Amino acid sequence: MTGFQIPRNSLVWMLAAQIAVIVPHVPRLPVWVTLICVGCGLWRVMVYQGRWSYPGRWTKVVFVIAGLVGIGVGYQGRVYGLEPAVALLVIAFVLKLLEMQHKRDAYIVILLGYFVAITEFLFFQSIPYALYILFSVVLITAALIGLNQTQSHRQPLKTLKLAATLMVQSIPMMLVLFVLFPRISPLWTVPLESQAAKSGVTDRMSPGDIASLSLSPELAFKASFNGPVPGPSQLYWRGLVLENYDGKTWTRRTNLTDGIWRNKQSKPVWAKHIERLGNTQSYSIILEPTRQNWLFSLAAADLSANADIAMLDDYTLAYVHRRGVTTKFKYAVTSDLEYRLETDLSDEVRQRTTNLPSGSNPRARELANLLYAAATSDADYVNRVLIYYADEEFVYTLAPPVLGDNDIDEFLFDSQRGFCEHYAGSFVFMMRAAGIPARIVLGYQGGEYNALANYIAVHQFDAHSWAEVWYEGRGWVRVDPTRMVSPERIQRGLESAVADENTFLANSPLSWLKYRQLLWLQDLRQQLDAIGHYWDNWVVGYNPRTQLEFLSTYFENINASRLGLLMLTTFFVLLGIVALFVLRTRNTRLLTAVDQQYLRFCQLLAKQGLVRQTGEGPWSYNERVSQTRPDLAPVVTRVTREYTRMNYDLGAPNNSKALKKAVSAFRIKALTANV
Amino acid sequence: MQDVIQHTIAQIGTVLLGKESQIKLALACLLSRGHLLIEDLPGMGKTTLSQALARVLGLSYSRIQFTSDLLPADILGTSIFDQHSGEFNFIPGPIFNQLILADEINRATPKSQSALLEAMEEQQVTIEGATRPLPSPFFVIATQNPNNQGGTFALPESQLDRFLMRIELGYPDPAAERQLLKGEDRRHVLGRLQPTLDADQLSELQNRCQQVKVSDALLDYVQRLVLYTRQAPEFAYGLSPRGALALLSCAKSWALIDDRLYVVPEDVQAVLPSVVEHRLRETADFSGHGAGGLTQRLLSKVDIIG
Repeated sequence: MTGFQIPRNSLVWMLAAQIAVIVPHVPRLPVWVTLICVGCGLWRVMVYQGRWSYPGRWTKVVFVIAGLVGIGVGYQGRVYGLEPAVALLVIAFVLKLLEMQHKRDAYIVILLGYFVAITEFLFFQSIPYALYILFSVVLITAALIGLNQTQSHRQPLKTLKLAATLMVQSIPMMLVLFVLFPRISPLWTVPLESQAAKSGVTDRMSPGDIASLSLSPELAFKASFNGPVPGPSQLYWRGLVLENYDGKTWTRRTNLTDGIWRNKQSKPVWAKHIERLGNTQSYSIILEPTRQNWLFSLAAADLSANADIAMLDDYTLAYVHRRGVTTKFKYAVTSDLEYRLETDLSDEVRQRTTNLPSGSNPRARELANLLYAAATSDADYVNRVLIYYADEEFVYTLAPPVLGDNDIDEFLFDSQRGFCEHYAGSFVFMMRAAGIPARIVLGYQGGEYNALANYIAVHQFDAHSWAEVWYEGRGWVRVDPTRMVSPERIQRGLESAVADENTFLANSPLSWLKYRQLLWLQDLRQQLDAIGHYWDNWVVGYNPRTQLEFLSTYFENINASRLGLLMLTTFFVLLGIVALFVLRTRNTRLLTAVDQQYLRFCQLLAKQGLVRQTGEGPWSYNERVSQTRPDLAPVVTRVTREYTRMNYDLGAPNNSKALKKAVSAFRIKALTANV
Repeated sequence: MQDVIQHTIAQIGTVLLGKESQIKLALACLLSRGHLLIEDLPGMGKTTLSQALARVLGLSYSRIQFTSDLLPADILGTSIFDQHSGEFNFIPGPIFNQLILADEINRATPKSQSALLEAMEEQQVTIEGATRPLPSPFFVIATQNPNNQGGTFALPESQLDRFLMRIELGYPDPAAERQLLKGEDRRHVLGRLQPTLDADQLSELQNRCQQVKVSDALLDYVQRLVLYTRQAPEFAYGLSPRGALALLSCAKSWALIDDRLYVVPEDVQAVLPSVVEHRLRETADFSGHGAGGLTQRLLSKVDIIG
């Protein structure tokens, strides 16, 4: 039925490679796709054993249609996206197994294997994944090698070893290509799955509804400072601003889709309201994929020019990523920690940031009026409110009680237990109740400094909210009421703030971060984090811009074409080194003096057009030469006789005197004959 | 002594025309104390060659025609009851001769083939509980038709290995054939052949073969050849150490026949096809015995200088 039987060596590794490349995708695939993979693998084994036959044409058509329909159903019609595309690829990959009737088909399966292995990088780029994919590539390569071996190779492990050797040998080329291959930005992109926005910063806030804040130990971003790192009380990573309040929930004013990227320029007109006053910090941030648009930075930031970065057009000093952060995203920031923002408040903004829905929370309003009446200025009023937080019995807790309709009243006067959102929310309410413009800022606060690689790691549990108050002449000023209640939260992080109640990472018992008190574990974690940081910076974050930056420290005037030239040069230099090595090992094989003389003689004769064939014995050669060139026969025979006598009779291959003489005699004769 | 060898070759050459190199190979095989297998179509002179060898070497000779109903006792001999003496007398079979021609060996059943092949290996036979030594020297020249001919039982690899050499005769060239057609009946010529050697001379020649010198350079070459058969994918399996020994031993005899007391690569190359072909198998050929043209490839791939 079929003329081609795939070699056993190849099939073993092909199936192993297939399992290896599909396994990491399994959590993202619909269950039935996994089942199809297993089924196709089994079918293929059955075909190899001769128990089953290949599926017929119509069976295959049914499989293909079922696969397409299944993907449509499995992803609820969201067929335009990365995950359905990968699922489709996986299905094609396993179905191709079932029509592997020719060698060509086997090649297709193997190439698809490489392709599927690469798609894993679309989802994860960490070191363990890279190592795993490298391992899968070795398996696929073993299948490729096995395909080109004869049936007589029956040791699959040897094939694997060969593949691994090849892989190791290719590493220098791999590095050259990675570092030097001219990088271009992608021509098109496929949207990533936008489900399950990760925990951390959301764009709405209603503290009264939350009974228990669950914290995630995941990394939010890393910031590497070029100079010394500012103290923790200055590390307010600003994200977005909430200005609208409906009596219960704080929300953002602008709809993201309306405001921002209508204007292609990254800085909107109102940016002139930012006055930078020094204490400049420059740093870069690697943001983990959030599938949101927010970019975080210290206040009064200026983000590096990038087509993907835009500033929100709503007077809030918020930066966004145009398409949403779906992979690790690196950006450089320059922040002036001293700044003045919007000293002239427009009526529209003033109206918006003092607006309170009427009627709610009467006790808080009463308190506000009382305190405001006693205050000498806006700043004095702010201080009085802060002192209120400090003097009353407020408790910082991650497990606050649920609050009712007048949640701010209940919080301020009854429960007095809450976390940052409660404090920021109630504080802004108090400000607005007194007619002072105020708003809520969401972002992160603090972070963990890693001295090994000099960066600050900010985790999701560092998420924070605080307030901004507008003063006449000073613009928007950051005020953090949480600080009055729990200074530890600001100075030493969340963990020490809630040390007594054991709520820190209560839902993540396996997180490293939970065991920070174990010093050696802490060291190990910091070292691994440091390695991961370099990896993120130099491998994952190696994009066209960083490539140019990196290379321009070594070469002047680098551009794409020079880069290509550089790459080719390095490539051929490497190849040349390998070639030299191969040639050297060939030449340094030990030749005896007699053999060397004889080979020299053969070379001389070869110049006469009489090349000794591989495997041609000396006397056969002699006879051939003597017949073609009778004039040379005597001298050639003399050389042959001396050579065979020394090499085979006397067994003295290192005493070549007589042979040398004979060769010289031949040489003279040959030269004169030519003349 | 050299004259004797050349004379022997010439003598056989008068019977088997135009086959000097096959005659030399057969002689080299016998000088190396090995058994010879001649494989060719019927009527190519297999029997003539073996008869001529027996006559000129002056050895006691018997011929066993193998057929499908041949029994081991027909080869080895049997005891017969003597009514006069009232005892069993052992009547030796044809195997008790110095030179045995086992004609068409692959026509017999494996059982009978084994009886002969065991005798070849052990130089003795055990019949009815008594072990009887075979005469010395003891040679077996077996002939066989190609395995694909009707009514043949192929010898397995293990038994093929007992033969030091396997040679093919091939068609004579036109000049030799013309002479053959014009001349008198070969059987008459065969009858007139005179022994050129006696057993002592033969034994001395065999001893001399052992003393032919083999240099390290030549051993390197032989080892490279053997290694190639073991590594190259075109060979299903490589040459065994016994095969390598056989190759070297035949090359020594060939050198002696060429009146040289040391082996050169050409000696190895001359005997190699006959010595290794029946010990190797082509990867592409699952059923056959013999590396066929691959030995030529082997010789052209492995250089004499490593």
